[in-house]
Amino acid sequence: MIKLHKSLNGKQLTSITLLTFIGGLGLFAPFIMPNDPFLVDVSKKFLEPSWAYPLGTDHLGRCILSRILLGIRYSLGSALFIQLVATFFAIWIGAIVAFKRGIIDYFFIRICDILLAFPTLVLVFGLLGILGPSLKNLLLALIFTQTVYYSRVLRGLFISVHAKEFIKAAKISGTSGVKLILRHFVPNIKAPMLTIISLDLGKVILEIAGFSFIGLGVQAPTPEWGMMISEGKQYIRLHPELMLYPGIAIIIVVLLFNFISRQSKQVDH
Amino acid sequence: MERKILLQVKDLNVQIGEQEILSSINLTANKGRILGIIGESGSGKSMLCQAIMQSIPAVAKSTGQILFQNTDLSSVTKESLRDYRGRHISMITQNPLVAFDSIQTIEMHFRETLKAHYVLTKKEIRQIAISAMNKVNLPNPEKLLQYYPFQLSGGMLQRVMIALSFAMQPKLYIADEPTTALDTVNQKKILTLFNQIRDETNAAIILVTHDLGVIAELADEVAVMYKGELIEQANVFDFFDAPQHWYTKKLLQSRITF
Amino acid sequence: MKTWEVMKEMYESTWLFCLKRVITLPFVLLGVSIMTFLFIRFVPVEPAEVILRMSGVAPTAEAIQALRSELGTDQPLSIQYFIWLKGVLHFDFGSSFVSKLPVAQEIVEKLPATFELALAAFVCMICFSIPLGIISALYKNSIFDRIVGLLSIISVSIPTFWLGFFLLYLFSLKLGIFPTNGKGTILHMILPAVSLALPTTGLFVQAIRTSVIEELQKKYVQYAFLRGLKKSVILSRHVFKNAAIPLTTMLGMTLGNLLGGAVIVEQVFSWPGLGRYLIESIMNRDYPVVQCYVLIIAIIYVFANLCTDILHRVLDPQLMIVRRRE
Repeated sequence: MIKLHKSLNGKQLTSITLLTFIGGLGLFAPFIMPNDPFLVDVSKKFLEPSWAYPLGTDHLGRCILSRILLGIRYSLGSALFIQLVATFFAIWIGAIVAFKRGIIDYFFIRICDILLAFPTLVLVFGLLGILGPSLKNLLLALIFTQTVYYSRVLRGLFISVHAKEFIKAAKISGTSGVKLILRHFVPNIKAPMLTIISLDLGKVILEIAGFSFIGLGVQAPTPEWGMMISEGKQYIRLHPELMLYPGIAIIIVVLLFNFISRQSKQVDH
Repeated sequence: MERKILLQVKDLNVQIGEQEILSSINLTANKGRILGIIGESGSGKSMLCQAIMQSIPAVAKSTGQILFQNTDLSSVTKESLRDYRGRHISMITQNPLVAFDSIQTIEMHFRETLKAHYVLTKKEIRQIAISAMNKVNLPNPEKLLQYYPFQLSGGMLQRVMIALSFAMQPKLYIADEPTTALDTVNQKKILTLFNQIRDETNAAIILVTHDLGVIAELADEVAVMYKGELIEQANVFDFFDAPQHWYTKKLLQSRITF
Repeated sequence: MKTWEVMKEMYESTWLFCLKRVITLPFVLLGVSIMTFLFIRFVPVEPAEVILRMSGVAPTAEAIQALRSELGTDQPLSIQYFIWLKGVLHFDFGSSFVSKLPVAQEIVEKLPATFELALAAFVCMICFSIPLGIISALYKNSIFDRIVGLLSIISVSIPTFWLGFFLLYLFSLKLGIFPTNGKGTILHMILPAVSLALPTTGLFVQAIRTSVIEELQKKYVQYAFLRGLKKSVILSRHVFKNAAIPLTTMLGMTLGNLLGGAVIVEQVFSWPGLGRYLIESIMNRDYPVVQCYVLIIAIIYVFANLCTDILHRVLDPQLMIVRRRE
């Protein structure tokens, strides 16, 4: 379904493999996690790492590893979801605007310019301010900001491909409609789009964590990594590990995504 | 005519990895004479120019001697080489538009080149620049100095480049395909310039080209490059009348004759 | 003796460009204001109801209607917009639902601290990224380059708030070098600024490195070398200046991101900026505050981008001079 770049190198393959593995962990988390991530047992708080609790327990006696495993869904899963939905909408919007041109295009560009006149974080703050802070609304806000950006980019891509000679040639020779799109547009759009999407996955994960950290995303007791860091912050003096583990989880996942997209950037050049 | 040897290349070899780019090159350039080096793309002409200027790419290794006025340039210190480059030996490259820095004015280019070798005031530099540009028949030099390179046409820029070299009064000019990017009218102008320079300054000129017409017009001596080797050297008359090597013969045959 | 005409043309075209941009500015701001206004009016919950609930008053139908006419939210949208706009132009952004105080006053009190932090991070970033980027480019593929490259990619993967705590733990709690929170001396500012700046620094180092490497391949570098110019001169006068030009456009965007990110970092270090205020307002659905924040930041951002665009124009003569070839 998603065809891989022919020129993927070792680093990228390792990253993709690791990420798929991690994704798998998140998917099957309920089956593989050692304990119930929501089970509160204050008598068991701040336990040292052991076989029963591989990363120890937090301030409420909950197993940290289990929470991190489940947290994969919220970080990785949400980010993938956001990117896929945003790309889906962006393709339609970008295509319609690129092909209709005229007034629709004009207004689209103006609106995009205005929306992009706000730094993305500020837009998300604004949207959360209207809709209210929750995970659902955070996802909506991020989908919105990503869609705006991607539809702008896709519009540009569609227009530039459209202007290329082989499209005119194909049209003259009779190809039209869906066939035209599939056979000629898609291959040329694929490469730059994949680069951009993979580039932003890391960024989106960081944003989800950031907003959850300040309390505007996921709400307790959901085991999202940013939220976990926020919960751990009052114990930083004596039990910094509460913040260390989720932080490292974030860094690893985002780093892997960055390895993939950075390498593909170098390949393109 | 008395021949004074200015530059002698002895057994020059340039290698990149396993590949030999130049093999056993031996040639001389004399004062007041134009040496035309002709060859097709890939024959190593540009690498030869770079080797003489001691500016071959870092991955390349060279052996042999480059004797300029009896000093071997290949064993001179890097700092001293700066003295030679631009001052005693001046190079004129092809495609001048990319050779100039588009964010600096023409005057800036003159100023930095002259300042790199001499101590001069701004005013003196301007005067030198203007007189050099007049020499190469550029119109309105004062105005041109204020322009940025992208504001001038290819032909004019090539002449500016020659003026820049001329202002330094070098003993040796190396011109790498100076007319390739130009139309015939501008080509003619450039060729006339080189003639002028040779006659008036008695400098040695090495002219690299793939155009036999240029050789016919300007060269006093001709050297033929083929696959990194210098396969024939002769004065221009012998070159055209009695070619020795099969490649030279082939080259001359492919010329469009009227 | 200098040619008047050429200089005049250059200045005229820059002047014209600035003028054009400054003229379109109000329209952009107008668009921004409309967008911000519409944002708030898309609220799924009736503001009057929220206010009543917060004040502890039972939200009966009459109470809601009474408050609505008091707030003016029962007027048609366009009239509401003009009333709001008029207020905005008089710097009256309405009052907070929570504190009943004028929003503008509170935000203007707290904004400078956030702006200061963002600016400090910006300066930090520039100071570190330029030398690192340049050295990485000049010694491409050396050990230094590889290490810096790895650090860059790691720095972009670290959440700023986590980094803040990490640095706090290390330098503040354990080593006691820096104070843990608040604002006051330079020492107070260092940790927050560094945490905020780090990811952007990583990005910039790589961008600078790429740009310099690209410039080094260009022919004018070789020509300068052939003319006998000193390496240091070639680098400073030609390479670095050319490399900087495409990077100027990134600057404005970066400042916007730093302003947004500052809100999060402030939470870590109890930095007295907009952060706490904004977050609480969002949780309380205090719309006027959010609206004001969005508008003000957007305006700053638009100005920052305008400045960087003008800077870009001025540095690159090819953009400045729109002239035919001779």
